[in-house]
Amino acid sequence: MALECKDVGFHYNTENWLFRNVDLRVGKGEIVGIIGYSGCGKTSLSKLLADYLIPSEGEILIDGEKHKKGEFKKVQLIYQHPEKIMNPRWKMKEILSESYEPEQKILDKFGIRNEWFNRYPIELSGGEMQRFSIVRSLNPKTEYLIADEMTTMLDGLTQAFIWKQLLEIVKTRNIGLIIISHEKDIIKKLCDRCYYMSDQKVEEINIDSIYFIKKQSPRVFLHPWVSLINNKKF
Amino acid sequence: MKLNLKKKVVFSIVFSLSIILIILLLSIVMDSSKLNTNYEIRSLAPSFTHIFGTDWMGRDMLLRTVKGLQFSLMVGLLGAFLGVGIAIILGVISALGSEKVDSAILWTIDLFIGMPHLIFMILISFAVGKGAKGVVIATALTHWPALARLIRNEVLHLKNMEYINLSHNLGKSNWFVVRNHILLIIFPQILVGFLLLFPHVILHEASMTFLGFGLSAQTPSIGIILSEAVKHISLGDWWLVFFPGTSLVLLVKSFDNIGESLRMYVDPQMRYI
Repeated sequence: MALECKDVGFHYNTENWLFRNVDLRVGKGEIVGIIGYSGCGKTSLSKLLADYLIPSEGEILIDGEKHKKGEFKKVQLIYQHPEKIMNPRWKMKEILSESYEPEQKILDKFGIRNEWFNRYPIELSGGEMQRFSIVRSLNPKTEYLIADEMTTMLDGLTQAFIWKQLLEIVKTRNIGLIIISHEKDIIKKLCDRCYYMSDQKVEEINIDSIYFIKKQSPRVFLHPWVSLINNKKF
Repeated sequence: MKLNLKKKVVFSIVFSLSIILIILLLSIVMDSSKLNTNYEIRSLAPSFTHIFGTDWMGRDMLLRTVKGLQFSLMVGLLGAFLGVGIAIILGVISALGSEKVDSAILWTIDLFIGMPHLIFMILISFAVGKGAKGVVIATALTHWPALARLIRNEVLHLKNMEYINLSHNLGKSNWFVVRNHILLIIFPQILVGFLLLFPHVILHEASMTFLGFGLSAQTPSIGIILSEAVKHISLGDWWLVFFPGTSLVLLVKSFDNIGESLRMYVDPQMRYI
């Protein structure tokens, strides 16, 4: 019982592979971190896992099966930007019930107040919206959860609070959790294992060595005319 | 300040609606027997008994104008309804369907837009048999392409939105997504498109009857009134053109006004203005 990546590769245009030969395994009830600098494809990988994108090669298996079309996906993704995944013309209660009708217990856990239900997304703060997006992804049918920079936009105290509540639920429901972040402290504190994502590949690293990762400058693709900037003719 | 703008929007909607309602009410209340010719009162300037004056056959111009506008409203409503219906169906199918379906629909839209509008309408009205029926069908069938293309582009933009993808991943069907996400978001565009089609259709109806296609000369219609009045304007009978023309513009502007105001009112970003 695991979420597996087998030899997965992905590219947006055929010349530049974002990553290739990615092998990854997340068991049920396991908490796994993925760390990497910006632009290395963390979000694209998480979208592949949750079936928002289709891998260019290789396959992704959930408990030995591929994603099925038109069904509830067992892998759910929590976005970095909650405002992007809410229909601006829906009220919060409709947004929640698109997934399922959550119990009052879960709502209380994340500190969601009932008076927010009749508001539109634009009338809530980022942190408040993120709580809704977490609760929505905790559908009873969810078996694996991906948290993509979930708390980056929140203050420290709220971050700690939300992680604590989420981890409790993940533990009791035996959900496999993938935490994607560039903050080493969060990964070190929460995860059992850790993958490091760098130039076009993903490798498992020892979680204790996470602080020794060298700072790498991100790959930058410059347009040819940029090299002309220093040209004296201009 | 906030209240003022809201009041202004509501006021302009109420004002425009009341103009349309007055025209409708008048057309129901007024007795069409006065449309008979009466040469004793021919070519009278506007007075209290004949507010819009009378024409060279002694018919009351107010009554003719109101009856003509009623016909225009009917044609406009039918044309706008049908136009919006076709536009929504084709626009959504084109955006969500396969590439082949998309290009087939785009080709049809280009075909309809490419043809000169008025000539196309005259052609259709001849093909289905002349008369009021021809005018109605011709105006209804030719006003959807621009809106269909607009809706297609809107849906194309929406279908890659993250909350639409998420809805699919929550196991929702295409039909659910179209009904609950897409139509809800493009509703203001549809509403404004509908209300802005109205004046378009009305003006085309007027120009078709003005050119003498479709209706017989005694049927009250703004186009016919105006085309007849053109012959008499050199005699100094200004009221034959002025009042019917002004009321047509007023009617068209009312719909335009409602469309613009409602768009402001429906938009959540503007809810607090």
